[in-house]
Amino acid sequence: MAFLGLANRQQALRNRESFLNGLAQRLPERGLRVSDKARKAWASSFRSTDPEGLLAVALPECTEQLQSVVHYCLEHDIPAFPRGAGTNLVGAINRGGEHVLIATTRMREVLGIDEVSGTVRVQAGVTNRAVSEHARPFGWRYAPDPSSQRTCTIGGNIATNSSGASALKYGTTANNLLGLTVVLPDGEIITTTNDDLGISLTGLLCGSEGQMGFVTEALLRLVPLAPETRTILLAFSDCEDGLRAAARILKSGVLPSRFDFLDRECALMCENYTTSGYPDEAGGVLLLDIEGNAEQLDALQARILSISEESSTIRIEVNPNKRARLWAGRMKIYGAAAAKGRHVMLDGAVPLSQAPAILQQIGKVAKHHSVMPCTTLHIGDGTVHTFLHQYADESIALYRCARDIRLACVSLGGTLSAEYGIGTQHHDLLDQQFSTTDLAVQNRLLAAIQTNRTMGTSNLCPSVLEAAS
Amino acid sequence: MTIFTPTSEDEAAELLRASRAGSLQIAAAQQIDQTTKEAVISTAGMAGIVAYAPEDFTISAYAGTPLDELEKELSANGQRLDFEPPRSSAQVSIGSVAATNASGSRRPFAGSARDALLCARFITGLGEIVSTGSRVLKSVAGLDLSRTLAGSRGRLALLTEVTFRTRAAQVNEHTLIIPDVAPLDFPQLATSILQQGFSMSGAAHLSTPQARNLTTQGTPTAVIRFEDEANTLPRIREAGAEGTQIISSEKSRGLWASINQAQMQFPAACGTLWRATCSPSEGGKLAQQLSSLGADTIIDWRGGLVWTWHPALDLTPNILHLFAKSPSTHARLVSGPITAAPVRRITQAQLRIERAVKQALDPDHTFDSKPYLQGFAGEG
Repeated sequence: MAFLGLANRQQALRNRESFLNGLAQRLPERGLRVSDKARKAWASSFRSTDPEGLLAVALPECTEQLQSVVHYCLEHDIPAFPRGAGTNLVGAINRGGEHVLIATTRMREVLGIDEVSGTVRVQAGVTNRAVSEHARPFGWRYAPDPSSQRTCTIGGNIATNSSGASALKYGTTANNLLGLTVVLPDGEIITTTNDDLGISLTGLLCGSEGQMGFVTEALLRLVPLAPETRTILLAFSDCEDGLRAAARILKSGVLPSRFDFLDRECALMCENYTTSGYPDEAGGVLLLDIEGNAEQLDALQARILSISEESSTIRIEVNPNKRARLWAGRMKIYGAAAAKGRHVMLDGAVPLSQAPAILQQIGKVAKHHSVMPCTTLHIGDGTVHTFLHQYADESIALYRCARDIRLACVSLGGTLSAEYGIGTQHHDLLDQQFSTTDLAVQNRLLAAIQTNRTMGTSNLCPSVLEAAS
Repeated sequence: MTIFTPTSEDEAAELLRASRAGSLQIAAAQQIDQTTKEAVISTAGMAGIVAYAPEDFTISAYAGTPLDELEKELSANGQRLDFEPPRSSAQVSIGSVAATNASGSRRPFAGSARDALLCARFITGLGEIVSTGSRVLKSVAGLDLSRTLAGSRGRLALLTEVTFRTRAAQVNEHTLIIPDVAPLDFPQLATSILQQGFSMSGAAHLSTPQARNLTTQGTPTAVIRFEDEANTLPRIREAGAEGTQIISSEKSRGLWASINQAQMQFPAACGTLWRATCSPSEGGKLAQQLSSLGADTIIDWRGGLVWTWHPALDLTPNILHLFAKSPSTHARLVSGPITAAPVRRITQAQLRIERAVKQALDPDHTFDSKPYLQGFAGEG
């Protein structure tokens, strides 16, 4: 069979037009894109626009069409990879070698909402924000809120178990995912659930970075709309005072729906780009949302203020527009970082108690590499977003510095990546977080599901796996 | 039956490497089924809290640690496991909580044990010691196998250490008791109250004679729990119609402890008890149909969990038919004088993947895997 597959592959690559015609027949009108412009557009992600090896982009509209494409690619031994909105930051799309991308761009249907259960079934190409927009008239919303929620897709969210500032209260994608429809690498369709009788394939597939199959539909848990939200800004002259106040707020039982910390440089960068009201002189800024009815909010607000006595500035906003303005600087942080110049950003995570330590480490490492850091933390879930800008044209130093900060996160009991994933960019670091045996077992699981090479090679640490085998 | 009680991870790994050909059940010492013919590996020798960092809201413990011990430690620091693990016996271990994804009435509002399990250490059927996940809430580095092991009931690997997310315990607890609610109407009622913005943390419906006694009401009754630290009692009172009552603090806690041990509310010596999970919107209809057959029911999880007890054996085919007819229902027999395969909607493709996962972690089938990885009643 392997020889037959190789022969088919060689034939497909020799007679590319015929291969692409066959592929197009399995898709609706204009469902296959082969032009240079289209391939470049779909091959692009945040950092790369290299379409090398990309034969075509398939745009199925439903699970069955996607399955048909996978079967066809299998017959011709041509690898196929899933693609959402292309917002990933770790090279998840650009796999190299001749391949086909299967994009969920045309799979944007909300298939049904169960108003009583508070669940919604969507196709994988529906954007994160569109889920909440659809659910809002029924009194529900979808809680995971990555910064790219306007454009990122549910399928992509599932691939990297995405979430944003609200993960502290509402959890990550995995915690809000009730079931999946997936086209497996061998072309079979499975529907997974969260029942307590079998093995949780939903849990296994979520966060596997698209290596175990093509997610086509998802059943999502919704949360009720909050009756009222208040945004509180607390500024501290000393960075560590701010982090201590954050820890006290959480310890007191307050569970903000969003809770971020910005160090001085980060607050300045955001304020310079979008006027939001972050004080110039602050060493650290806490920005948090609390939700509930008026009595609950009064009680929570009183408690927060009573345990934040060191804060130099306090602002409380109830009006939605003013609240949005207070968050605007933080929400436009990627634009702010880009406006400041060439940069690298990262997404490690540490336990909350290690937040002061990681900020110190970031300062030391950045100084060593002659790089300017600014950092925002998701308080509670421990995500460390550091943006590294260069003083001179020394971009290699940015990457080295980012790598050292990721490793510092691991050494402080955290993780290499909280949100972006490993992709093709960071797999060489996995053996710093996991043992050879850990990775070998992960690889065995991947191999058990990738029973053929439709989905190409795994992202796991190749050198370690070689040693393990 | 042979019982092995290793006292360390290395000892357990060695034991598993030597046990490849056999079939081994995993159990905490106090939960061993004395009728089993298999060899049993007990985690009771691997007990104790490994690390507790209240400021990080995480706790790590060896798998054999009694749940009571862990919860006592958390309570001393004003924290808890938010998923409210139910107790099927007084000696539940934290490893078994993870392995069975044991989650109580707070599950629809705060997530399940699987959601709170951040990382784990485990031993594969080949005797490999493996670590997975991370001690932080969010991690996408490598495959997270902890979510797969949660609820796998010891069929894939031996959990040796688990790390759970903790949360601050809430001070105020009130339960709204609403009498005369038909099972069919319960999910809609619970949803309408939830959407009023309360901090709801439990929504159950009691229609069995025994369960009704818990609330001193004589009719099928809805009970809705609220937990927060603000004085929302007047507003909660407004949410209830005429005839409702509110119980608070210890009384409320006692009621929910009983609901979390729902199986104990039914006569243990006779009858047949089933546990069915489904989408909340289907739970009311399912319970209504079961009641009309003559079965007693308790609904929990806002409609997503239905306990069913019936004394007459001849009802079994009708009950299985109802489970099979309800589109999202999965069910298993908890106790009774019969044996029945779980009702589970699973295709051959899904079963094949489950078996592939089993093959990757336990290729020699060292761990007992029946009946879950075999065919089931209600299969698609």
